[in-house]
Amino acid sequence: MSNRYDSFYGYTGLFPIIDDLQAESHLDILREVLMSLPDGRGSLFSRTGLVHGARLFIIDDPVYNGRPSREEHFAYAYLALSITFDGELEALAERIAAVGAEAFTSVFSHCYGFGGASSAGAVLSYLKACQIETTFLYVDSDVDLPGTLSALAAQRRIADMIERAQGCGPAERKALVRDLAERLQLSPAPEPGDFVTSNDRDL
Amino acid sequence: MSNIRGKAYAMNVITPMKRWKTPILKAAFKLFTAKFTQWELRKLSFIHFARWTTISADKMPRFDAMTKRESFGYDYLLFESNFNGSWNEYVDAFHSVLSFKLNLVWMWSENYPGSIPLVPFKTYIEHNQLHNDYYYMAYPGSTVTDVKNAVDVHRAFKSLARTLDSSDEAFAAAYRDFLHQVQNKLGSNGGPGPQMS
Repeated sequence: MSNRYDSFYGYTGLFPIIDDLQAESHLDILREVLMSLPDGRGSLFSRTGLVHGARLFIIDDPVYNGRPSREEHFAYAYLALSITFDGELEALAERIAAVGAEAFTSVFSHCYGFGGASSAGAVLSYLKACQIETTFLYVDSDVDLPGTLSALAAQRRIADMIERAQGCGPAERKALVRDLAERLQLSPAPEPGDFVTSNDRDL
Repeated sequence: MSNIRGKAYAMNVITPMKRWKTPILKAAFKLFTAKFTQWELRKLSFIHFARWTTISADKMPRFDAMTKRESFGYDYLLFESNFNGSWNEYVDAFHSVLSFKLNLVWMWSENYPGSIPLVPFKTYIEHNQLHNDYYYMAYPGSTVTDVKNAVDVHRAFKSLARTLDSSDEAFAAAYRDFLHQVQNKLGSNGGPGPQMS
């Protein structure tokens, strides 16, 4: 119904967690894996270069809301995955297989049906097999991830340029604007996941 | 628990719904896909992205190795939001600005008390909230308003740069216009933000 919002895709998936008899349950191991998964620059979703936001959480069971509602239980615990990203699911699967197969496997190998992440096809078919269609998606942006990061990085440098241009004549201001425009054009898009979005280090 | 990443908070709420109510709720969501119905959300400017998903037993993923079959009787409504600020500020804003639309969405859930008065509403959200085990944000140091300002400043600067080959007088006028456009949007972004509860 609404997996898409303009150029954004909202993926929602529920992955059944393996429930078998062993010394330590997959559920417990999975919680530890998720807590130790890097969440900054260079992490699984950062490396895809497409993801604005993602979350993973475990649904053990539905919450009972008291009478007159019924108490009920799920047959399995589920790992919920939500991702908001640029483009289509195929492109995301391709990036995960290319740059995040190991991290992806460390999480989803604890779920039923996982067939590896070594190819884009395997990742895509698993994501699709566990996808729950998003009913309503809302995104308060009209800019893709590289555009957003570039703008955040440029804003501070533009403010610095304005400060330097105070009191200058038109010719000097032109030179400052030209210089910054050229520098910004040459700067690669900053990497996602950092608190301070910057491309200074690449100059 | 990883509900907070920098200036963003990730909330998940799952509530049970009688199955016959799901098509009505989906019809309501169809109305909300019209962008003009989202103006309050845009004006609040503190939700990066949000989604609602209805979960039914017959739509749950199933693999050969799974010996049990899901047979839960309710449908479930899963709400997920990424916002700036604290949990309390967010729920307060929902209660005071979006109460009518929120009630249209959640009134189909079991034992939903309504968004007014505030205390039972907060109790209901808290009771049905699921905490995150992992949360990633691509620009955790920036709020929705930070992003919008930065995009506006960047666009204005690109427009200014296109006037570089004009006369000094024309460029001076373009520079003045540029300053008018960006003067209130140059605040810094980045940093982990305040501690939120």
